[in-house]
This record gives sequence, C-alpha cells and structure tokens, in this order.
Amino acid sequence: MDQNQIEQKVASIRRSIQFLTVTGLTCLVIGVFSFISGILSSRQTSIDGAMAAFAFLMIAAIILFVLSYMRTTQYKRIIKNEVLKSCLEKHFDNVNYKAEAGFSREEIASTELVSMGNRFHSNDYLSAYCDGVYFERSDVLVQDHRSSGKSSYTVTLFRGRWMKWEFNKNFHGVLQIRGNSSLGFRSRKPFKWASSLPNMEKLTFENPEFNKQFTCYASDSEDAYYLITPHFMEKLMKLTDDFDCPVYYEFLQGYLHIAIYNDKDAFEPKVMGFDLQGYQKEIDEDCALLHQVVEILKLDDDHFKAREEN
Amino acid sequence: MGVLYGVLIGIAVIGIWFISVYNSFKKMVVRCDEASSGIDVALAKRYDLITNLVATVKGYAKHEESVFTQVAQIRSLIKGNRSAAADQLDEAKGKLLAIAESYPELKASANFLDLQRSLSDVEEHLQASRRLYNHMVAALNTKKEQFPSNIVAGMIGESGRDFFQADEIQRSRVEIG
Repeated sequence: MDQNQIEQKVASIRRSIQFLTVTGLTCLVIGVFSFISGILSSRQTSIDGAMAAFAFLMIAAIILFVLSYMRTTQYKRIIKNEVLKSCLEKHFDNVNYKAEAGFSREEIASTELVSMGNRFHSNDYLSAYCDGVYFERSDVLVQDHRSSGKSSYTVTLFRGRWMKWEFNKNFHGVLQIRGNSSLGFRSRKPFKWASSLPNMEKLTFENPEFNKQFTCYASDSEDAYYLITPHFMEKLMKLTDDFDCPVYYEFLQGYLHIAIYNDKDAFEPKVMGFDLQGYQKEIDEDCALLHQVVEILKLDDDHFKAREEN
Repeated sequence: MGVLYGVLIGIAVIGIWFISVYNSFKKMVVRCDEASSGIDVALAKRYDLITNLVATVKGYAKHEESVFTQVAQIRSLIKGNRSAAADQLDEAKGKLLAIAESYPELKASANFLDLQRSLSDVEEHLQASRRLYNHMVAALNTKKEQFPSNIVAGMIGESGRDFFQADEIQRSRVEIG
C-alpha cells in the first residue's frame, strides 16, 4: 500500500470508529434518560416502555462499543504493520517486529533491575540490526496491584522502553549500573538469599562524577573494570543525560540491557487527531535514539570482538 | 567494681575495633594481591598473543630476526619486573605491527586480524587489571595513613603497596587497528 492508500484506509476506519463511538454514547445517554423517566413516571405502561427502551439501548451501546474497540484494534494493527514496520525497515536491517509480543516476565525478572510486582505487560517487540549491531527492544510495564477490603491501589514500578544490545566485548560476570536518582527501580543491592545473580559487590570507579551519578554492583570486579573504562563512563553519563529520565544499565550474558523509565508507551498511534506524517516523525525520532545508543557507546566497534554477519 | 567493669568494657570495645580494622586490612591486602595477579595473567596472555603474532609475521618476514629474539627474551621478565616486561611487550608489539604495515598480504590475513583483535582485547584487560589494582592500592594506602586505622597499620606492620606505574613508553603506546 502506498502513502495515499494507507491514509485513505486509515481515515475510513477512523470515521467508522468515531461513528460507532458517538452512536454508542448517544444510545447510552438516551438509555439513561429513559431509565430516569421510567423511574419518575407514575403510569405502569410508561415504566415498562422506558425500561424496555433502556434495556434495548444498553445492549445497542455495548455492541457499538465492542465494534468500536474491534475497529480500533484493526486500525492500530494496520498502522503498525503498514506504517511502523516500513519506518523500522528504513532504519534497521533484518527487522522482526511483533506488535503483540514482548519480553517475557522471566527475562525482565532475571536482570533483577526492577521490582517485579504482580502485573506485567510487554508489547511492540522489535529485533533487528542497528548499524550492524543486533538489538531487541520492547515496551515494558510493571505494576504492583494491591487491594484490601473495598480499597485498591496500583503502583507503577516501571513503564518505558527496555533495550537489549549485543555487546562488543566478551564478559562473564554481571554488572549493574543503577542511576542514583532512578525512582521506581530497585534502590538497593539485590538480597543475596533472594537473588539469582551471582554474589554482587558494590564497586566504585576512578571518576567521582560517575560514582555520584551511579551505584554499581558487580559479580566480578575485574570484569567490571574491563567493561567500564574511563572513556565508557563519560559515554554512559552523556547517554543518561540525553535520555533525561531514570535509566538503568546491566551487563548480563553477553548483552547490555538498558531500561529507560520514560513513562511512555512508544509506537502507539492516536485514534483522534491522528496525523500520519507526525506519527512517522515520532517513529523516526525513536529510531534515531537507537542509532544514538550505538554511536555514543560505540557498540559497532569491533576492535575487541568479531561481529557476526547479519 | 564499677571501674573494673568500665575498664573491661573499654578493653572489649577496643579489642573488637582492633579486630575489625585488622580484618579489613587483611581483606584489602588480599584484594590487592588478587588484582595484582590479574595483571600477571593479562601480561602472560599478552605475551602468548605476541608470540603467536611473531609466528604469523615470521611466515611473511623471515629476515626480521631482532624483533623475534626480543620477544623470546621477555618471558623471563614477566615474573620479575612486570613494568619492564610490559614496556618491552609494548615495544615489540609496536615493531611487529610496523613490520606488518610493509606486508599487505599479512595485514589482510584472517589470522593476523584475529590476533590484532585478541591483542586489543587483552590490552583492555591489562588496563582494567592495572586500574583495579591501583584503585585497591589507593584504598589500602589511604586507610593506612588515616587516623585511627594508622595505629593498627603500625602495629601489624602494614606498609601499603606501590602503585603500578605506566611509564613513558606505555603512555605513548602504538594504536592498532
């Protein structure tokens, strides 16, 4: 489908969503009025008629809302498959994008970067090669929902992007780099008895600014010094400043995990006031951020490890 | 009686403090030794890689005998004078890479490129070991100088450690790749 065809198709679906939603809301409002008029009426026939109208309008509203929801899902699917995918293919190689898939709860939990709570959702999974470097990314939402008696509350522990980059150095241990101002993340060293990670030890480096900005835990201090060179510390600080939100890093099993708590669900198209070019621009900016990670951290540097051909 | 209890409690507190400072000194010394052995491992690895590089270069440049002999003599230095061994390995590596510049076939061979990559990696490990060692030494020496832990250091004869210094040759080492 070309740009015009996509725009036409999207516009027609959006019109039908708007129609279904507005009609559904009208049914709902009229239904409520009939219910109220039925209650206030003193004649039995009027009550019966009002209640019948109320029941009919409620059923109609429900059907219309379900149809509207289905059309919205279809609308998002078309935009993601036609617009988003082609944008991603423009920026990256070997693109594998799955709107409904994401990282598994186990995978995120295994990093022990975030308290896992009892609600987990991940979507918009993408694996590809960015400037020759393999990466995976997904949106992740972790919440803790509690209810006691009549009251219930939900605490969001993480909402944002999770990236996993193939790292250009071989390492064996685990290294966590936790931003000191990162609310929502685990703020303390993982408890030894509850942790599946090897024994972690708090480490400091030569750069006082870096030590002020981050707290590092490593299972192997030599490995940590090998990964975090003075130059790399500068790059991490720059990257973190560029993200302008809490960021955590972890080196685990050959990958660098970057968890960005920006409180956003990326790649989601708006239904009302959708602008195709604006959406494409947003995707381009998101992709530029991924290129920026490779560029700042020099992940495409193959001085230390030969890269597999993609 | 009260004075006796007071003295006993005072002695116990000082004893506990002494033991904890003593243990932390011992722990720091062990960590320094561990970091120091990391330097030895990286130097030995680097020596092995340079030996392999020599074997590869030999296949193309048989007449560059002086460099090959120099590498053969370095091994004995690794255990004794690590700083000198590191300097000489740097020098030998520089010469080997300079030789490779004159042989395009050698420079393009997969084996040579692999060795270059491994050498970069081992250099990075060596650098990490040195930084870690110096960081540990700095922590040990600071504790040794600070009051009141300097009292315990004096009592147990803890004299601290010397930093691993990079001299001029290492500072101006040849970039590869």
